Amino acid sequence: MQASSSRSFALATCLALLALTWAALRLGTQLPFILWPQASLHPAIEDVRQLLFHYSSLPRLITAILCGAALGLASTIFQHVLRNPLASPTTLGVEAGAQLALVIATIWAPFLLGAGREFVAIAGALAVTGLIFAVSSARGFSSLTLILAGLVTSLFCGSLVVALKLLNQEYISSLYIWGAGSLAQQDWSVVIYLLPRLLVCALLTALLARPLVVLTLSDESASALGVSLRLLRLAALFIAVLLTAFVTSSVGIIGFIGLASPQIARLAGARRFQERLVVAPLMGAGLLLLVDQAAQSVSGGFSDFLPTGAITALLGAPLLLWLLPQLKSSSTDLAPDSTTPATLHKPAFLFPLLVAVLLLATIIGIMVGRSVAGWSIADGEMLSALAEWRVPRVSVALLGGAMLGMAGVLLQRLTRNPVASPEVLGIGTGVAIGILLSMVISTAPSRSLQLAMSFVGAFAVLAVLLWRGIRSRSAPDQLLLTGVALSAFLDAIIVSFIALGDPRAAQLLAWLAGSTYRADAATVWATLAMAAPLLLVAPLFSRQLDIFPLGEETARELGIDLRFSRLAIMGLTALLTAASVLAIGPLTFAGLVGPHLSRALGLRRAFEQLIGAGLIGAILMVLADWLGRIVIFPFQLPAGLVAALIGVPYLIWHLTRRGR
Amino acid sequence: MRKGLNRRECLAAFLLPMTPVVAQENGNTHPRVAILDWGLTTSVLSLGVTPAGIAEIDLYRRWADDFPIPPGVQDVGLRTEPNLEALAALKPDLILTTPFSESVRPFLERIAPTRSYATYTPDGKPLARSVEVLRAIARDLRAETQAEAVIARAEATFAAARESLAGRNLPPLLLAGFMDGRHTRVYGTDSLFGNVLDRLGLRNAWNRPTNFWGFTLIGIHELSPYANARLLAVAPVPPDAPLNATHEGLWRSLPFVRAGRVSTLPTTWAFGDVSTAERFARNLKRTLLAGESARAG
Repeated sequence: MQASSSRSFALATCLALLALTWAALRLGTQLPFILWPQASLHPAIEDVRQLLFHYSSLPRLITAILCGAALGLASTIFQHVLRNPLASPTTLGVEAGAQLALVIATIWAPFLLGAGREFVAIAGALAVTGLIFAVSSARGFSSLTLILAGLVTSLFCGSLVVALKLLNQEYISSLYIWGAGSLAQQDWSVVIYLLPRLLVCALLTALLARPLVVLTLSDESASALGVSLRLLRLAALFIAVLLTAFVTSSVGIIGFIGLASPQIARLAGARRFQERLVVAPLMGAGLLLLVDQAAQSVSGGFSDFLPTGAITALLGAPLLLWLLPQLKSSSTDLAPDSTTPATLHKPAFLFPLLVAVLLLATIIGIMVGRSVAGWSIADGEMLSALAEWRVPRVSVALLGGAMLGMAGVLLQRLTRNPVASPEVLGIGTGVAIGILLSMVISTAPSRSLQLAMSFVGAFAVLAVLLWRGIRSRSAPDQLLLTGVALSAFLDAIIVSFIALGDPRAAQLLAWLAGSTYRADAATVWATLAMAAPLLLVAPLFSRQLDIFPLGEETARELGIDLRFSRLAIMGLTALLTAASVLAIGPLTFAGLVGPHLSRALGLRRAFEQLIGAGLIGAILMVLADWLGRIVIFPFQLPAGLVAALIGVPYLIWHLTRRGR
Repeated sequence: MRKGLNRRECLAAFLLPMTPVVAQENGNTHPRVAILDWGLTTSVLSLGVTPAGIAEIDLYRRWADDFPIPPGVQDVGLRTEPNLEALAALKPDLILTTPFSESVRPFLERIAPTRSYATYTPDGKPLARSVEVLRAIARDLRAETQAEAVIARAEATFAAARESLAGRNLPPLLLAGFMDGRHTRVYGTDSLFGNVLDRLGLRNAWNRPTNFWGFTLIGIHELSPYANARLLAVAPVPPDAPLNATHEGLWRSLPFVRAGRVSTLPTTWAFGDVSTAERFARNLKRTLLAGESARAG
């Protein structure tokens, strides 16, 4: 035991020393070692090298160390309190929440950002953590659900930020850079800000370290020992949130350093919580310093601007892929949502009702609108003029929503996880990369090029998902986990591209936010061509979908070929999602909300739930598209964003109620 | 630092002499045009034509501000995704956009004939391109004589500025667009601003590679090698930019900052057109001459 603990400490120290040495060597080329003492304390004002050393290089070095240590510490606490090996400020969406709060303040309350910057970030981070905590505790803190909830929240916050950026493009260029986590410094203000705060948090953590160990015992033993569990958990989480908020409000989002540090510490032999509390921050500091040095070395060569936070995020996706198998689904993951509705809705009445609502929504979407003159209900000649714009959008929204709704049911039944959403399969990443590539190939990519590359990207990801599915013998969890890692990649790539200041980034953002804008007749036919067979085939698997939640044994006994069925359903889900993403963008969350709402209405059997979710998804997207057009005329909110704004709060509310 | 005088100068220079032309224009000799780019907006306004619709009018005022927008012009939504219904309701005869709206072009074509003009092209001469673009737009709008007048005036401004700045041994210039407290854009030779510097015979201090639009994004610390330069910050300057910094930091220690060689230029859109460049040249001349006399006096 002693050997392993000192081994991990030694390893961390080695890493940190390695990073420091590299940094020192690099700095040595900029300023001779002899001048270092003078430059550190009283730089000669005429010597630019000394000025750089004192005001830029040295603070940057120390900032990297402090941020890395803070994130490592925060993650260790998160992972311990939430009993989840993948919890970290990035995967739980805490950083995204802090960033969202800061973006909102930048646009609507800039006065808050002077002295109150940290409080804004803390508020955002606390809100997200509270949310995640509530969702997770209602599900018994199951591991996969926590991570999925964190990812969904992170994506949601991200899509809100994207929408806000869309409407304030030029103004928010600086936010792109900051959001991507640039460690560049030009004075000591960040260091002076971070150091005391981190020390206080570290001290508090040290005080809580022994009581926190108790959390590894079962709940009964712990309370028998007289420790107030609830209070302890909350206090520890609060410290972790503070640490995250401090880092995010100073330098932006630095992804995955937090995730990596405790993991590597554990792998290096730090098994005890108290060891990790010391080793993980050390690892984090060393890691971030290394990455930052690498970023600066490369940057100098190409004179491109790549923020360190973007690089850590890029590295994080493979890291996540590597670590994900550690997540074991607990039994709570596998229990189907057993909420029984208070009243019995007869499905017989429900379907016609839903269809009627859909029809109504469609008619409203096509006929009611806004113009310069005000609200209008179009009819006659005006209708045929406007119809050419509105009908394609409404149709595409309808089809996309229906496909996602069904895909959501398929995925949730397949993985037996209520937070599984088609949007986190990573197909959106594939399409985004496709569009990025089209922008690299051509400065002004034509629509057909963009579409073609989008297809390529979507189906590349599809292929990866299916390949993983086959290789893992159709284990449903692997599908989700692969998708999660790919989704995490999405943000990193987009952020890097945008941080480079490319004025075309707006197009990418617009698509990301989930827009039906580009729908035309051709899109409608293409989407219909893809949707029709998929929507018709899905209900054919109802029998399997009904039986899956009963467990593998039962399924086999009932004669289901598990491997084939799972693979088929995986493929169907992926195809449905791809078709929908190509039509309405990646971040709509209709696939998350549809199944839940469907079940809440009393449609509990697979066939009913499928149809219900399809209808509900369609209604949601049609309404979202309409609202998006109406609310801030002549500007428009992307349909996907509006759907998320409606759907996700509902979902959070639904998920925080304990399953009975 | 925006000087109100500047706008009045603009108005005086452009609109007053063109009043007779404007009166004729009210006889509807120009097509109804909707514009989806700010540089092209400036072009059209400089010709004395009132467009039917412009994208993101409020932000144009904040970021470009080359000409006042006449009342009655309709906002048609985002530049990247204009509101198609609003555009259609305008019934324009012509839509002007840039190649970066290629993906939206099929929709625009259904509303009205769409022309796409690019100031920024791979050969990296945006000022020369913007002159060609202005002439092309003038042909579309049947305003060729106005265009020649604008171009002639711009050339005269460049020549006059060049002459008054000649022989003054001015330091090399850093053209900075601050993004936040730690980062800034710097405009190189291939940008509109850089082209103007060339025309005026001024030296651009930035010699490192830039991107397609002629600028590069750097951390402030990368400004330190340019000890002899003069820095010109193009507005709008964000509130946390180091220009206003009072505490010790790299910025305050930079040689040119200590020597007081820092000035601000009024709001100018880096992707503008000939009139933008002309206004930039005038502001540049005034700021540099004021700086010189401040040091001499």
